[in-house]
Order: sequence, then structure tokens, then C-alpha cells
Amino acid sequence: MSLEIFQTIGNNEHIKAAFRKAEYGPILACAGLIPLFHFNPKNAYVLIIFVLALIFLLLYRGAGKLGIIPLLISLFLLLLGNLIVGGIVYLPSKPLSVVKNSISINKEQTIFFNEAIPRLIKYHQDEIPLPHKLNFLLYNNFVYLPYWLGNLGHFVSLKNFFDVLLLANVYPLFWGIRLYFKNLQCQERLFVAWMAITLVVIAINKSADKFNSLYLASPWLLYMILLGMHRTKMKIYLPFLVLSFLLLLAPKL
Amino acid sequence: MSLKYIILFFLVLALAAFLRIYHLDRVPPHLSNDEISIAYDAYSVSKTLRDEHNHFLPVSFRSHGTYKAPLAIYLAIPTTVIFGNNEYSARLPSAILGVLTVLVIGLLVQLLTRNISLALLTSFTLAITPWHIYCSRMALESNIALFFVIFGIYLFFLSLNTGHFLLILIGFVSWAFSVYGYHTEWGFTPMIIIFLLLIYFRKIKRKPIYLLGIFLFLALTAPIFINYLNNLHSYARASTEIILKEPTLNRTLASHEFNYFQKILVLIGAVLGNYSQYTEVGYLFFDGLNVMPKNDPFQSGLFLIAFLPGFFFGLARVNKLFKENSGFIYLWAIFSPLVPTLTIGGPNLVRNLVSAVPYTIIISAGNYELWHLFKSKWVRFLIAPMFISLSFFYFAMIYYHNFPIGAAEGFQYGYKQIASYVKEHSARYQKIVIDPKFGETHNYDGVPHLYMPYFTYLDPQKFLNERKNLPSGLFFDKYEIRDIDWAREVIAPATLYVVPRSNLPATLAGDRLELIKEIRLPNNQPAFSLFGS
Repeated sequence: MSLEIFQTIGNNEHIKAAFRKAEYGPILACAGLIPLFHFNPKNAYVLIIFVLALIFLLLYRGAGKLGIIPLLISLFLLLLGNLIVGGIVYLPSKPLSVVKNSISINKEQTIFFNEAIPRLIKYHQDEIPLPHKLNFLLYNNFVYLPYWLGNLGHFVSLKNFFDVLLLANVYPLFWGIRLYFKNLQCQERLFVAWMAITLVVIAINKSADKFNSLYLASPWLLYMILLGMHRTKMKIYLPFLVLSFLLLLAPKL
Repeated sequence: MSLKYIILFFLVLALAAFLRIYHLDRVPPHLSNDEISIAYDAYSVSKTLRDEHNHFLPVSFRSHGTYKAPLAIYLAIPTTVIFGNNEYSARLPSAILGVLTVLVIGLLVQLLTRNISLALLTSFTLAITPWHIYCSRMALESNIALFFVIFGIYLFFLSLNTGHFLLILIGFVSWAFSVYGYHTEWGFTPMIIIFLLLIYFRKIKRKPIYLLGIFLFLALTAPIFINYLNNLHSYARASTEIILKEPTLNRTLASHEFNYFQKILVLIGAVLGNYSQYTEVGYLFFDGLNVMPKNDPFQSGLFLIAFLPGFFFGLARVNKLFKENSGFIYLWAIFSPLVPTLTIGGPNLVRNLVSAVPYTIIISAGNYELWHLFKSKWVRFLIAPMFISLSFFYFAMIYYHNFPIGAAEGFQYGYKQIASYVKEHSARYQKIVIDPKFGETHNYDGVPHLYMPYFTYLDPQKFLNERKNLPSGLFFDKYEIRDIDWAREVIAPATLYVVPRSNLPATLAGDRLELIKEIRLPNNQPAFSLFGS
């Protein structure tokens, strides 16, 4: 369903041509074996929120000038879903118990709840013998930005993508993202917004779990992999795919 | 090349030299464990033609059991002879070759793309890259080897254009030098040579001089590999640094629970995991430089944060700028972390320095393309330069200011200052007893037996003649390098005791000891105390 939506919204000619040229056989045949696509998040709400977000996306397609409203609702639902799977927003796991147990925000799961950072900012401002104003210019709350991006940077690792999408699929994923951004000006910004929401939530999460965090991005990732198949050389892809399956069988350390 | 570009190149080189040589004696704050070993062996060889372990002109220096590649030590001999025993003598060869690497990378890009602006931008990018600045400012074998690798690559491409046989041979000699430079190059340089020969096979197949070059390379590098094979049993490095020795992996591979096939898969998984760590964006751009304590949010990556967009953009645009040579750049970038990946201990910026060059080329290609993408003068002349300047200022403050203050203890700070005292007052004492432990919890082992003779200019021949390695410690000249247990210590007259802050005597041993001097770290914490009897 989500792929269908992506296909219809992505109306750029380059993208359509890429899809026409691509060989999907191997990837579609084994899509069920890709770990992310048979992963079930712990919280039952996430699946409901996911389906709701997709329904609002469908409404967005047919809503004409009022489309912005379902789109915003859909993106809000995605944000909420990401916060829930990331463990930042807590909902009781049984759907009907919401009334009894209130929704709460788990601040400790975010990078903002790190008492050491304000203390270290203060330490650098006070202790290092620099001219006082210079100290404040360098050592201030802006450090959260690189810290936040660094957190995201560590998450976006090949290992995480090997584990959730299989080693071989990183190759078409690269080409898919490349083609997508090459034609960005003609594209719906929806995909970027979708990706941005996922990445922002990962970035603020102190210990983002790769499967939970990428769960709601799975349609987006599959779309990019399929998009990249047009540049993927099967001579390289297929041996890697076989190796990926073998690695799935390897004992875990 | 027009005069404008020549001047700009000189400015970039001047900037590179300034960033690599300014306060070379203070940043890093002290010669490190490995640096003092290189410095002392250079001093010892310059006087006796023998290393600290009495080996005549070694091909591999035993050092602290790490068996160092020899080039860094032999290159430090002239600077030691000229400038004496100090940080400049030890670090200058690496700094100078670091500046030359900035020049050669520019020449290489110019040769491959015929684009002088991109060449200049690449040189500039490497000149201000934290990773390369950090490695160039230390007497590191890997930085020295890097120059010879890239110089060889440059000469290879130059020879493709000119066909001059001398360039080909010098290129292979340079590659052979790189193998003598650092252990990563034992695997990396042959790999690069194979890539180049395969990619450009059509151009070189009718030129037998390349075959001669290969033979020359093999002949020149044979001694180091023969030496390695002859000493295989004693090479600590070969038996401890390889990924197979990683404890969890080692246990799995030794287990009878799994068959060979499963074990191979486990090994592939471990290598891929290691490779992933080496290529993490967080490591490369946010906190890989590791110059601040781990929990400190003020960190620096191996590259400036401002270059992150350029890196991603460059990955997709290298083929546009480098055309038929882009395949080589991609292979270089993909395979350069391979050798470090096969070692243990997590990502190591020194072992992986060979990746700095292809990544810099990719970043520069990306930044060059971004420059042409954004037509706005505001972006080109205000926002982009401001972003780069700010991110460089951030790195510079962390590296040139905070790092020497916060990391001094890890560099065994204090031994040079002790040596300076000992040199002046040595005549007063019959014995100098040094406790080699240091650190807040008394758990690090220092190498005062190298710092002391190096900074006091003790005759290396005397050191070789008198050195005694006994179970109780190491003894030479007036020095006794051994653990001090104050409860059992018999205090002899005219003895100088050097102890870390973690092993101060509870009392001044019945007034027989006198506190003479306290050595403090740059952050003002005490490091060592000197007591005299």
C-alpha cells in the first residue's frame, strides 16, 4: 500500500524511467527475508498509527487544495509513531488501557537529559583560562547541535543498514538515494519530510534501536532500494545477496 | 599554471606548514610513548649505529615490543643531529612530509582532472583537515608512510602521461619506502599497486618498464618481509593486533560448537562490523579525533563538520569530475580501511590514515560541485566561508588549546621536566630511583628509561653497555627504574626519588627525605614529586 502511494506521488519522469528499467525480481523474491520487513515493534499502537498515516496520505492524494491538512496529520502521526517506537513517548502496550494509564514522555531516553553536558559546558566556560567572552562564544548550548548530529551520524552506519536491510541492499539503496536527490527539485517533498522525521527522532534518542527506529521508514527504504535497482549490476548484487543470506545464518557473537 | 594559482598554492602550503609546525613542542603536550621510542632510537643510531636493544641498523625496531617500521627512525636522525634532543627533532620529519602531502595531493588531483581550482581546493581541504594535522604534528610512522604512498601514486599517473622510465622507477621506490614506513602499508601499498596495474593495464601492457618497477619494489621490500618471517615467533605485533585475537571472536573460532563454515561467516561478520565503525559518519565528522575525554560533548571529528555536505555530495559527483579515473578513486576510498579493519581495538585513526586522502578528494569534489550549484553570492562568499571558518575555529580551540591541557597525562607529561631537573642537579646524587608507574590510579607504565637518557643527552653507548634488565627493574648509569614500596624501601644517602602522585610516601621517612620539586600537569594537577635524601 505504501509503495503504491509512493509510486503515484513520485511522478518525476526520471523516477518512472528508472522503475521501468529496473530488475526487481531478486529483491521482491526475497523481500520477506529482509529483517526489517518481518520485524514487529513491541507496541501495538505503532502499527495502527502507521496504517492511519498511510490512510491520510491516500486522502492527501485525492484532496486537491485541502490536501495539506491530511498531509500534516499524516506527518504528525509518523512523528508520534517514531517517538513511540523510539521509547521517547510511552503508551501502555494494551490499546484499551490508555484511559487508565496516562501517556508519558520518557525524557531520559533523549540526549537532552544528560546532566553531564550542562556541567561540562559550565566547566569549560569557567575553568579553561581563555578570555571570558571567547569562552562563552565557543562553549555554550550550541554544543547540542553537533552532539545531536553526531548521535545520528553514529546511527547511520553500514552495520546498522547491513543488519536491517541485508548487506546486498545497501548497494541499490545508495543508487536510489542518489537518483532521488539528483531529481529533488521535481519531487514531492513528502519523502524528505518523512525521512527527516525519522532521522530527527533517531538523533535525539540516546540509544536508538536500529529495527524500531527504522520500522516506520521501511516503505521509504524499500522505495529507494527499488529505485536504485536500475543502476544495480546483478553480477555484483546477486553474490552479495547470497552472502547476505549466509550471514543471516552465522552464529551471533 | 597561472601566477595567480601558483601564489594560491604557496599560500595553502604556508597555511599547512603553519598549522603543522606552530608550537610543535607544546601541542601535543609531551612526546608520547611511541614518539620517545622513535626519538631515542634515532638518537642512539646517530651515535652508535645501534638501537636501544643493541641491534645494528635494524630493519625493524623492537621498541617496546611493538616492532616499529624503520623509516620514521632513520628520517629523524638528521633532525636529531641538527637540532639536538627535543620535540622538534622527533616531530619535524612527520610535519614536513605532512606539508609535502598537501602539495602532492593537489598535484595528483590536477593531473587526474586537469582542474586547477579543484586541485587547489583539495590541497586546502587537506591542509585544514583535523585528522591530517593531528597525525602530522606527531612523530607517527603512518603519516610518513602516507606521503610515500601518495607520492608513488602521483608518479604513476605522471608516468602514464609522460612515459618517462625514471618516473616509473622512482614511483615504485617511493612505494617500497612506504612499506618501510608503517605496517598498514604492508597490505595497503601492494593492494593499491594491483588496483592501478589492473585499471590501467591497457595503457601499460606494452611497457616492460612497469614490470621492472614491480621487480624493483619486490626486491626493495624483500628484506623487511624476510626479517618479519625470520622473527615471526617474537613479533608481538603480529600475534596480538590481528582481529583473530579479539577475545569474543577468538573464543567463537576456538569453540567446537560451530563448524568451519559458520566460523568463516562469523569472521566475515566481524570484519564487516569493524569496517562499518571505520566509515561511520559520526566517527569521521563528529568525534573520531578523540582528543577530549570521552564524555565531553566538545569533540572534533576527523574532518571538519562543515565538510559533511561536501562528503555526501562528493560521493555522487566524483565520477563527473574524475571521469575515467573515478573508478580508482572509488576503489581507493572503499578499500583503504580494509587493512586497519583486520586489526583489533576499535577504529584507530593512525592505522587508518591511508583513508584520509581519498576521503579528502571526495569532500573536495563535493564542495567544488556545491560551489557551482549555489549561484548566490551570499552563500558563496559569506555563508560557506563562515561555516568553514567557524568549524575550523571550533577544532582549533579544542586541539591547540584544550587538548594539551586535558590530555597531558596520557602523553606521560612530566618526564621531560624531570629530566631537565636531573640534568642540572645530577652531580648531587649517587642514585636516581624512578617509579615507572603513573596516573591517578597508579596503573599506567611509563618509559622513563627512554625519556631520561634522551633529554639528559646520556651517551647511548653508555646506556647500551650498562643497561641491566633485572626482575626488580631496569638499571643503567645512576638510574634505577623500579617499583617503589615505601614500607620496604631502604633509603640510601644522596638518592633522588621520582614518584608519581599515586605513590607518595606516607611520611618523609623520619625526615630522611625532603620534597625537592613537584611537577604539575598543565591543568595544574600534581603529576610527579621529587624527593631527595
